[in-house]
Amino acid sequence: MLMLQDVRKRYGSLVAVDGLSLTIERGEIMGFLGPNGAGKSTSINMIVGLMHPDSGTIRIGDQGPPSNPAARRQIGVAPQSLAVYSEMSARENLDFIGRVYGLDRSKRRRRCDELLERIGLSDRADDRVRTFSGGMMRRLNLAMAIMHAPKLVLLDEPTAGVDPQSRLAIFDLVRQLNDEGATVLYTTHYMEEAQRLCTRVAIIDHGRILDHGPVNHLIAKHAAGSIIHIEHPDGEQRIESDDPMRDLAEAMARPGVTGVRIDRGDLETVFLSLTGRSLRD
Amino acid sequence: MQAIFAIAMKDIRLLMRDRVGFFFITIFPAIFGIMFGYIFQGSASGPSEVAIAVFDADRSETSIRFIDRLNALEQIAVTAHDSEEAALAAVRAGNMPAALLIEPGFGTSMENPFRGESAAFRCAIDPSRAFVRGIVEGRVQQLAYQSMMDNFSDTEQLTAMIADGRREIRSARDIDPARRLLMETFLTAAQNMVNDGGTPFGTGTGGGAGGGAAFQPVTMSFIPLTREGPRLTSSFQITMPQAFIWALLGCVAGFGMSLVSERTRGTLTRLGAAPITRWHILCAKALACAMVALGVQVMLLVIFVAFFGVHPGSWFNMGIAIACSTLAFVGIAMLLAVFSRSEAASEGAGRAVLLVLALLGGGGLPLAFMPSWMQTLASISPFKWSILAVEGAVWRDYTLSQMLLPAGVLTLIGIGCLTLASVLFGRDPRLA
Repeated sequence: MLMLQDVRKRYGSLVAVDGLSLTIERGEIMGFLGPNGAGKSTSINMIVGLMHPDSGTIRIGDQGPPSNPAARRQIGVAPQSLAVYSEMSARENLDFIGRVYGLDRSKRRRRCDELLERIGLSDRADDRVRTFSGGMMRRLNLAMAIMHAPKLVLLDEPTAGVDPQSRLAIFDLVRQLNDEGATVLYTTHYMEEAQRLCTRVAIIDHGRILDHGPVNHLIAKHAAGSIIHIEHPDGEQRIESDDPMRDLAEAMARPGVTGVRIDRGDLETVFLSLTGRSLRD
Repeated sequence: MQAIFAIAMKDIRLLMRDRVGFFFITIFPAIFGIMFGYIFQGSASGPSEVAIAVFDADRSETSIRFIDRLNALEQIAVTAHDSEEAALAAVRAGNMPAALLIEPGFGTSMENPFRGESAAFRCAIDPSRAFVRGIVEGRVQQLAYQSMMDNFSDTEQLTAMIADGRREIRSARDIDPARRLLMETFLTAAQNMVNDGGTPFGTGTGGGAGGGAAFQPVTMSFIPLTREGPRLTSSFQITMPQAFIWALLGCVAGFGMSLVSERTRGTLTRLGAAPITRWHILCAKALACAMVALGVQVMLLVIFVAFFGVHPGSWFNMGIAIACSTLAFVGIAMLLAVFSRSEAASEGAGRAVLLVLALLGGGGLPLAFMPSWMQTLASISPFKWSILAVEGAVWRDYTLSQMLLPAGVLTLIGIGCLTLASVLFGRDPRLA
């Protein structure tokens, strides 16, 4: 559904994307993870045709590069910023985007009603968006991305700043989309979201894909050990261990231990092991 | 095409819901035009400078000097014409409010007022600008009186004038004996005063009022003149074109920010990802701006025609003026939209550049009231050409060929700005 081959993009002396290659198969939910400034947004902007790569190839399904309007018709994008018109109602926002994508009146009306129902905004359909909460706007942002029933949906931090209820609603919507056959590229900073939703994950840093694959494979490859959390009256100590039973026995023997917990390695461990612990701005 | 129309209608809908923006595009221009229409109507001050078309049939040193001195006066700007007909035509066409025709023999009469013939002018005033008659008549009389006083203050010249006058009286056969005696006595008394070291008429610095209320050094006759075509009959004919440009300024300021607003709120990302080209986006913005600009101008026209008695001399030219103004200011709005990187930058450009250009172009002081140098300077402002085009259709009675200049300038501005905007927008490496 989406193929990036050796894609490069520079901003002056800054290399934003450095030979990025990635293939997403039809029907996948691909997590796209990386620290700030890793090149995620630049990659997404190139995939949707907002920017042209300096070199390399991007293909959308069998429609060719995103410079082709027919290829872009297959894409729906929910930008990280809330790309909604706050002085228009939810219905007007959806209807507008439907018109831009060339949907006829009856299809627009049907699709508006359907999506408003799915994102839980039927009751507020005709209210100005500026009166909505952050979570409602975020759901509308996502609904606008899928108004034209795209085959490839790019979601850039779709749950940023929303409450748990809206987050769950967004998860359900993403799963429904996937069940209906849409391919999803899901960018997030929340590792548990990616672990929960994505069939595969790609971790990007410094404009390169560091590794990609199913979550379990990545955990097995980069975070095979266990993590022992040892609780003291002063706080908690975290130990990464390849032999948890031995390390646990040693820990229990120490004085002052008030509790222990053993976790398996998770996607966050993978992420940190691949991208390091240094702060990014 | 559906996408272009959808984006345009969305922009118009957003504008209608922005109360401040809507006010400055529609309500404010109407209030401005109506309010200043009433103010100008009640004002007796008239223009700050009166342009006079002058034809000098005398061509003497005195007449040339007189024209130079007239031109040097405050409130008066003289333009020399080669023929009487040319000077009168300038007034008929509304290009000049007044014409001054200097008759043959003017120099001789001014040099020797004792010959019995006063220096003569003929004058033509644009009937639609009758308020300039007082200014022209007063300033010409004042200057003629002052010139005469200057001659009288020169004793040698005055002695020669008296001698010349006495010769003229003695040689004249058809003059009444009583009048002859009176004039001889007057000239003898004047000569005696000169001989005693005085001047009979003072130094000439007192102006017309000091020389006797009834005495007029020159005779002025007024030629009845009919303006060709529609005339400036109402101050609203001046303030309506001004209202147009304030509406156009509002459109430029509003739509000049539209791309920046889309960029700021992230919706440009959504539009850029849609199966439309950048050209479609720019075209939609231009279409929205054009629809609003056209709509507001038509609305203002209807208001001024229906309620304030403004009747365009040529509806066809009015159509041209509105169409070309719209094209020019849509182009400017799109160029501003493409150039602006932030809402603050766009707003700043609107205030700093466009407001100055609007004021310079006749948005504040009407073009017809501007001194000539300011009218020339105003040519750098697209607003001037818009006003000129609308005035050409309303009261200047421009022919189609005369409309070509303002309409052509506006069209060139519009096409140039739109071309530049589309090239820059197309080359912008980052749409989002």
